Amino acid sequence: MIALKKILVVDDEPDISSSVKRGLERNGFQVDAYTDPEKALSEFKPGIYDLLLVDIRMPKLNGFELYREIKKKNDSAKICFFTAFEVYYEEFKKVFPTLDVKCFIRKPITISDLVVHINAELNNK
Amino acid sequence: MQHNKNRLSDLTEFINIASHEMRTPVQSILTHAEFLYNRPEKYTQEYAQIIFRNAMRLQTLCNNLLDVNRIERQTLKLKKEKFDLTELVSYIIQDFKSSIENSLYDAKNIKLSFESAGEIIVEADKDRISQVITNLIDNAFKFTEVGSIKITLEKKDETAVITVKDTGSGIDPHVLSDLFSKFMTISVKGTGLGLFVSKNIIEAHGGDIWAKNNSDGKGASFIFVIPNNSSGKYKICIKS
Repeated sequence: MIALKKILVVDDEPDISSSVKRGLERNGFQVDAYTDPEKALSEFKPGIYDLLLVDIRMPKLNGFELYREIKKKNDSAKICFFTAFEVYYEEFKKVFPTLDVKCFIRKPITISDLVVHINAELNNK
Repeated sequence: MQHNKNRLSDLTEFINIASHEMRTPVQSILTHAEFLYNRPEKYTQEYAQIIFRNAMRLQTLCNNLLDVNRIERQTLKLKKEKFDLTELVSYIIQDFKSSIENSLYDAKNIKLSFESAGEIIVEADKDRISQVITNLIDNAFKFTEVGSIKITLEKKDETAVITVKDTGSGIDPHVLSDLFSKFMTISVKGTGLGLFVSKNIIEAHGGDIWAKNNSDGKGASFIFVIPNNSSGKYKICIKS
């Protein structure tokens, strides 16, 4: 039996986090979803997730800050930033030059296209 | 040149924020429309509500953008009529309560209440005053997770005074003086247009609007005053 890939979704918009969770679960993923980045961080368990799907513009803790903190707990955590904001790779490198992230998924996107991006990132060794 | 550069920088920042505010509800609309398209038999009512709620959010953004354009071109006209402000606020409160009951608004931990001194007839643009009150209550919900939002309507001399008082996170004192400026936003949500538009609408009625943190340290109050028989301008004048 093949183990389901496990995704952590963090997006402060309840409609988005719940629908992405539902959409990904229908596509065979196991998903934990949070609307509060601080709660996502405090409950984060290292080594569980195959991929983090994280919004950038969030209150209390933005996506970049959340990822930086998660990296302290789980250095090999894979991430895709999922954003409606015009912040891309170059901007990210300016703010966090030591963090290496290349997966930025731009909203709006259909669940079927999101699944394609996620599978590509999961297969990216 | 520096002035133009600053304006351009402001404009670029605004386009970034406005595009974020458009894409976010579109994401929810797109996903739930996709669910309905693929499996129309399941959760139809819930998905329709989410699509409706996010479409309304887009509508508000579009209206605010158009209003800013009208304000800056000085073409926003008031259509004045006599009406009972107490009745108007009651309807608005009822709409908010219905939205909460129908899960169109996520505000189950907030008590919404209204107190009025009775009938208060004003001569004003009913739709525009409604827009301002709705904007203030909507903002109060954004910054209040638990507690209450209380709307009070009073008659003072020849004016009507409306106060929207919440028990939310309050206002950073550093931004209080700029709160009604265009593009001023104190959260990661919003374009910073709603209060700018509200201020211009109230001033066009010959009134005034301001905000303050509550003296008990919990939350903020937004207050506006309009004359009962407004002789305000029919066109909005921009203050430099």
